[in-house]
Amino acid sequence: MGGAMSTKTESEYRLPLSARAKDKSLAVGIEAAISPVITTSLPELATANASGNSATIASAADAVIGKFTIAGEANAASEADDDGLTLNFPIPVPASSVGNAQSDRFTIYDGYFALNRLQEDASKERAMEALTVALAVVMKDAAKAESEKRGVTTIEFGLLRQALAVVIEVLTETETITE
Amino acid sequence: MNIPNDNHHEPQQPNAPEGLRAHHAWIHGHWAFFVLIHAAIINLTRLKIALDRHDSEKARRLFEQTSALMLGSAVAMRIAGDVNPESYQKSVIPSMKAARPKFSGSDSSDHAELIRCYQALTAPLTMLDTELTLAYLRFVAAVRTAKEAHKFVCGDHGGNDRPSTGSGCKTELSGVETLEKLGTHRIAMLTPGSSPSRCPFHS
Repeated sequence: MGGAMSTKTESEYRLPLSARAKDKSLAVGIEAAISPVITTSLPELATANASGNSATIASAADAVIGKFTIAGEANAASEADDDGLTLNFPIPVPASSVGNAQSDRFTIYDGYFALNRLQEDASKERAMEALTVALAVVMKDAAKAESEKRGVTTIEFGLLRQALAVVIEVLTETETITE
Repeated sequence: MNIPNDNHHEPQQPNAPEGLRAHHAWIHGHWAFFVLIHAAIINLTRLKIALDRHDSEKARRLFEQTSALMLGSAVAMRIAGDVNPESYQKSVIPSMKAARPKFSGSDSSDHAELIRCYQALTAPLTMLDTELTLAYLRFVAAVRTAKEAHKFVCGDHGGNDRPSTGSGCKTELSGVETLEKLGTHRIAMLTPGSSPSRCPFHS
């Protein structure tokens, strides 16, 4: 664990993610043209993912993360991953202050897992940005985890890459559907 | 999620390198899970539209894509749980208990939305075109695989013996038994002709 643990705050280690209701609206596509940054990033991630090469995937993911302003936090997470032990995990909400309302539980869960969830009224384009950055972070994480050769098998990582390829397809289709 | 049933839930930061690694794997494995579930929510919403329109070609593709997403989510669970059991017990579990004594996967808004998507499919699945049967069965098998992966990780970290405090009304069940109940209930939602009860723990 390096200096990052002591110099970075936990807010720097959050994964951007869309609001859950926004996903359902993304299902019917985006009515307006979206940023070329998104439309060019998804094919770049697809090409790297298809290579199956950890270094290629990590490099492409870094490049995509660097394009987005929403990715400032994800960038920090990405850099922090380099030594594998610098995650400053979120400080849990004290249990005594926690209610049982569903919205409270959702908030606590998001806080625990270091999610930076967009507001429900965020635009579809913003949601697409968040999911694209999150995808890039996850691709980089997975490549790193595979290179560590622990308990998860090569075949399982292959299944994960197939699934991530589908995520790219799903997001790409969201760009083009205009129902 | 298997959490010891005691009253100690002070916030703790992991100190040992293996404890930090366990936390890193736990959180980042879940990040992969969340991204895949978001894509699944988008796809299942599209699937309902396709089934309602009797667009079999589109529905078949959506079944196949979503099957891949669910299999990927099983791997994400494996990555999250790919830590030594001692680190999980000493580092990961206390942090979850500190966040909420009954911390559970059902606290996830994404999980809640996924279940809503399953519920929304219950009616259209009763009118499934026979040509979609194979794609549908593959999808259900993938959901079952995701359930089994979750049970495997839970069991690997003591969940065969310990109760899950996030299990709702049947806390005497072990973590693995709880996940089996929940998973079976979810699959029943996706099974035409099945009438799952409102509560996974009461038939």
